[in-house]
Amino acid sequence: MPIVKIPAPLRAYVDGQKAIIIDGSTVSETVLNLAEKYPSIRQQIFDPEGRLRAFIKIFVEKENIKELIDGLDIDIQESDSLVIIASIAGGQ
Amino acid sequence: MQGGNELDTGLTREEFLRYSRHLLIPEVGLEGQKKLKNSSALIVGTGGLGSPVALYLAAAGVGKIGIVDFDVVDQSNLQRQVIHGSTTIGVSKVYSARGRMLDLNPDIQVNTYNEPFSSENALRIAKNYDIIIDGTDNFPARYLTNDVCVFLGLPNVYGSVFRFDGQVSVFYAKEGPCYRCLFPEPPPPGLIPTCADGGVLGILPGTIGTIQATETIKMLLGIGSTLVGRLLLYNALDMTFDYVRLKKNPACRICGANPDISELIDYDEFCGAPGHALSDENLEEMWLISPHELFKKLSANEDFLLLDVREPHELEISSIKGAKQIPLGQLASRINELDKNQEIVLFCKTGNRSRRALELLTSMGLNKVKHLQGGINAWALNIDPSIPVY
Repeated sequence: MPIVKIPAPLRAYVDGQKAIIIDGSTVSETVLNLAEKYPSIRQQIFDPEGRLRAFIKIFVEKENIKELIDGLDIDIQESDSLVIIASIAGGQ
Repeated sequence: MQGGNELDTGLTREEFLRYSRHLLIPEVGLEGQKKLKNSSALIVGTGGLGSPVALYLAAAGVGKIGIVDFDVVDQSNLQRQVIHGSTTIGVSKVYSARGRMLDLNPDIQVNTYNEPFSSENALRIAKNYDIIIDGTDNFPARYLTNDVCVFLGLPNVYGSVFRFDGQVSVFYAKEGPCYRCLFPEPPPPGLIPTCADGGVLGILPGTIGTIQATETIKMLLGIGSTLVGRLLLYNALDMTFDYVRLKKNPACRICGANPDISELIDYDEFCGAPGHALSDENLEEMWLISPHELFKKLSANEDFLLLDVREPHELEISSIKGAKQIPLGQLASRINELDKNQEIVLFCKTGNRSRRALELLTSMGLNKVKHLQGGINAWALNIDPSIPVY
């Protein structure tokens, strides 16, 4: 099953875990399974209309899924890493 | 020999000694050092990220360095803002930083801008520099810095930090993606915690800022493979460096094929709130409770649930007797522990997370909810001086 890496600001919504093994054969299936298992993370990742929020990015094997033709529907392999990135602003 | 102490090589005798370690590297050498001497860099923010950037660019001999900040040095800054010191507490950060930079290298020019970086002054300030380093701490300033760089055709050396994690990239619309290509919009206010709420390991901005300084030097020298088109992801706890590839977004509103942003905008409005912290200004009074009102309720033994939404480790710092604790991140999944008919008063450190918890609970149908204005820090200042403000 693919590994989903969780960015630091969202770890509070998945019991503090940095990476979670989640079942799924496409990106959307994996992320939806994640949101089902950890309901608190749903509203962080998806807006009220169910779209991926603009400050969240998902990368499969270093490539942004938005730049891949199939986007959320692309197939992922058992060994793939799915990296979620959130925009952070800290610097002071 | 030319006039003064300047040799016909473009460096003084003192500078040959000062930069001898650079002169020995073939990729830098005399030509490179002269390039640095004739270059300029603007550092936006002289805090956690800006501190190492300013120190290392000064030490490296970047000839003209501008620093922008409107803040003054505070005791709580010194855990990570190493350019300042105990002797400059209360001093404007740009003057404190300038003193340390010129002590490190008196041969450079340091220009100070003791003002907020804003839509009114940003282009005027930035147009005099070759490269901009983003050391800011909020979303409006980050979008402003990006847009200024796109309009002026300058590279934006970006870094940001949270707890143990950092991100670094070089956004340069002439050669690759800009910040808006990656993040077209900021998070809604309060959705992502700030360092003031979530904390930051003091040395983390040191590491990230030092990488920003490295990328700045490479860009100025024109050497190596820079982070244009890559986002570096650093985790200090696991000591991992990873990266993802970034591409230009053809639909980017500022550097895409059909841009609709052609001038600087109101960045506070774009990001939802001043400084991007949640504000109670637009919240109706029925959702708020002051520390004094809460004190009265507790003294009268009223029937209500006092709910602390901070993380468990924060209870060691301060607490209010009788409060139940559910961290904000667990609130949605532990909603069944709350009674819809009972009044609930939420609190956190300063009021940002409890405001978010209030929105969450009301969206889930709990309507007898208030949140403590200013959080437990306001409680400590107004009601219980025996507990610390943090």
